[in-house]
Amino acid sequence: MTSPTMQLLAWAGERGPDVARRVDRAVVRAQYAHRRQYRRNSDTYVEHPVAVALILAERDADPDTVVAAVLHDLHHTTDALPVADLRAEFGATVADLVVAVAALDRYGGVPALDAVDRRVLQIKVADRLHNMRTISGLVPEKQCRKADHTRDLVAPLARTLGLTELAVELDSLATATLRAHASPVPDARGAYPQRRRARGAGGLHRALSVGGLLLPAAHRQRLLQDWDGELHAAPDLGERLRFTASVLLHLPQLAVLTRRTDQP
Amino acid sequence: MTRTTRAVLEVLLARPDEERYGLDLSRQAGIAHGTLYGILLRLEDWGWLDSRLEHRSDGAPPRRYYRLTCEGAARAAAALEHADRVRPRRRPSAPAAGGAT
Repeated sequence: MTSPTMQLLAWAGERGPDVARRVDRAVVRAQYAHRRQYRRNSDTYVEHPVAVALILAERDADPDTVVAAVLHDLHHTTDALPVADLRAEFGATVADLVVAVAALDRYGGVPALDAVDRRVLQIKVADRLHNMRTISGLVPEKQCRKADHTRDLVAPLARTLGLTELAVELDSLATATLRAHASPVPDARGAYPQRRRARGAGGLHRALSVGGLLLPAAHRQRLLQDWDGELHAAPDLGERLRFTASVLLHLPQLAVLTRRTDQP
Repeated sequence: MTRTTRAVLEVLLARPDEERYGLDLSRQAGIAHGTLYGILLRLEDWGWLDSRLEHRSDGAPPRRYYRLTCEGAARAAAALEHADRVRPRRRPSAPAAGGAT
């Protein structure tokens, strides 16, 4: 399967050498600026802006919007590209769009449609769509907040912008997330169930967390989360101890494996 | 292909449509839990496996479930077939002739 980056570059190539050059340059800039950043689901960070740009490219957004989407997180997640450089390298339109997306993020709400360039809103909708597609890396509380916001504000905004297909997917992802985290039901005394901690799981998780420092950052959080899930699902303390011992014993081997990039 | 990867693929292919979790896979494949996760991560990187977190109603941490992708099932079957040709698996010896029927 072709990677999203290759799909985006192919899209740009079909639109002539100027668009191809600008998109390619934007991708290189983003790859470099985000090179040490990872998303909570362990993806390299740059996969996110590229995916956002591809969502827009697939809906025939104009090249400035697509370039701005590739660069949309540079302005506030890194200090790699000052606005003056952005303007000089990609033009005033792209620079204005990137700055406006960052301003909208700080504002947090949905502005009046005529107060903001619609292209900024399109980038925000695509940004949220990709965040919702990859929401499992967030803690449940944050997933619920994002899902609420998506269902109440972003999906209706997508509909208003004529991005019906995106609105339907946003609604569906938000609903699925909210269902998965349905509020716990209070018992007969009106008390809510406490978060269940299996016996010994806390200490074992701490041991795994220390051992996990051997792993590359890209995989660490994901594996620790998975092991925590297994520890709590294990039927008894003996199984939890065996699981932890086995994982700790094989951590050096796992640390080597997770750094390898071989293909099948 | 390593013996452990082979064991994991055989377990997954036995019920390709079913979602499996880590403890279950390591038990059935007969490999250490610690070995399993490197294999799962690589199979997922190659696109052979999909995974999802299942959140639990009791508030305990979510558990990850794995399933072969369509492409993964086809490629795993082909890889096992190839591995069998190159290095056949040891099979239990056949019952002696004239044994109980």
